[in-house]
Amino acid sequence: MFIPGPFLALVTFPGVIVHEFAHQLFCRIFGVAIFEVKYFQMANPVGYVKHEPVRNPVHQLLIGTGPFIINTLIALLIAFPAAIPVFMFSEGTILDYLLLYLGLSIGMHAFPSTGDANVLWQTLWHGEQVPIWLKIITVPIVGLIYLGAIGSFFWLDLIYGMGVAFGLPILIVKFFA
Amino acid sequence: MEEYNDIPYQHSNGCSRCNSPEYEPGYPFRLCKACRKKLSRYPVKKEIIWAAIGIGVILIVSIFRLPGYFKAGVGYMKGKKLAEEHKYVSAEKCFKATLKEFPDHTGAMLNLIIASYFNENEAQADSLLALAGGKTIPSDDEDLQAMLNIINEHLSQSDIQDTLVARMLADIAEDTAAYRAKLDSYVVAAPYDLAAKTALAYTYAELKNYTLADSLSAQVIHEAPLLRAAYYERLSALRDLKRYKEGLQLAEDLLSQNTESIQALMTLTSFQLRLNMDKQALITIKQAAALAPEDNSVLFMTALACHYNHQQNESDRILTKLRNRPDADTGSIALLQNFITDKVSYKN
Repeated sequence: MFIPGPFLALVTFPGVIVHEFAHQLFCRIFGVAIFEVKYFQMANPVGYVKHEPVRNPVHQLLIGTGPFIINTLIALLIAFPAAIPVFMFSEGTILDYLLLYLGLSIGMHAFPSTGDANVLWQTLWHGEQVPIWLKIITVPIVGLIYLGAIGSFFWLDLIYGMGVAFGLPILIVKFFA
Repeated sequence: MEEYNDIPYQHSNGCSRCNSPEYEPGYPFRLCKACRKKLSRYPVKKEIIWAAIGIGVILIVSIFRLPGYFKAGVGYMKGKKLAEEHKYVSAEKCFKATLKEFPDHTGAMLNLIIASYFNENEAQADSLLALAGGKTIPSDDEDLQAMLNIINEHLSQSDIQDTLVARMLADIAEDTAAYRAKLDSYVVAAPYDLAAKTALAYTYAELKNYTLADSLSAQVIHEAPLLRAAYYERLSALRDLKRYKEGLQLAEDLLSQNTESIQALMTLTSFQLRLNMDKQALITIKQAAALAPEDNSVLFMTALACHYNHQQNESDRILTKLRNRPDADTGSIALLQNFITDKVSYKN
């Protein structure tokens, strides 16, 4: 089943907003000037952050992969209280289902986009004065982002979102049992 | 969902935003410190802030419920794990805690039925089974379903199947000989009725025919290896037949079904003491005491085990404790005193 990206993004728009917010947050943390933020639009790309080129290449790595960290954490935080009653005890309220929807939406937009990967590659692989260790780290990260992008054709982003929002809370409960 | 880091148009000299000559060096894009700080604090849209506040409120409500849910979830998982390890006393506590938070949860209730049965609380298992009558057993849990079927069958086997015979037996209960004769003929006619066989074993034990009591209860155990009532019947017969080694083995078998069974632990202790395995007996009864420290029967056996392990002070302390209890049986206290003062030997 093929669902065009913008329509899927429309259904899961909270995730897009959090994704862009995560880029913005890391720019703010590292004092990187932002020129424009589009939290959501019905076009390709569905959201973006325009910022100045960074001085410290490590900052670029964290700005680029920020959504993976922030979206994953927020998705887990939002879905956790709802996943236990719904999936373990089949007793969810409408609020629980709302939180699970938000958790899933946010979780499935955790993967950085290929656009994010391009910026990372240009800045860190081709950039000057980038330490060798950072270049080495960049290769698998960019590779994983592209794999994620390919995987999204097979709903990998949805599977990841479900894993974070639905599966991880239950695994955490099992861990403490 | 992208980020761009292209360099936009820059003024020829100074800060690209305010044209100040004091721009920060080392950056590809020229900005003074104040402008860079201001731009890095790009404002988040009000709609998004309000939406985040709304989600935050829902989240706070959910987080408020989280400790109870988390405890119930962990308790349920822990209960299932403990039940797999045949630790049904601890498992029962976990399932009861889960049901306090989620009273309609079928899984917790069904597991509690199993735990109650193995904890010798057949009344609780029976009433819970009646409550769970209309509920669907999760089809993905075949082990749970199989165990429930066995327990359901065993609970129904606690009463003689032929109600007419059961009524007749109740009427002649005072006449032991007639009662035994009627039950005997019924067992021959209905050998599948395990409740009748167990009742007959009990009757023979009452008549001090321990060999027949043992043989009948052994048949029941063979046919229904999880029918715990028959084990206790046979253990009692083996004790009276002084076949302590067989009793020890059977008590261990019973304990393996529920390693936290207080009654099975006490029975094992009694056989260990009779086989002069005094140290092991003390270890066994201490396991029971850890699970039910205030149980009068456990205190009785602990005092006895302490006595045979030369811990006379502890034995006396427990006897005093039992004496001060209004619910303690005076006959048992007198018996215990005779045992720990060696007036009567428990081992013979």
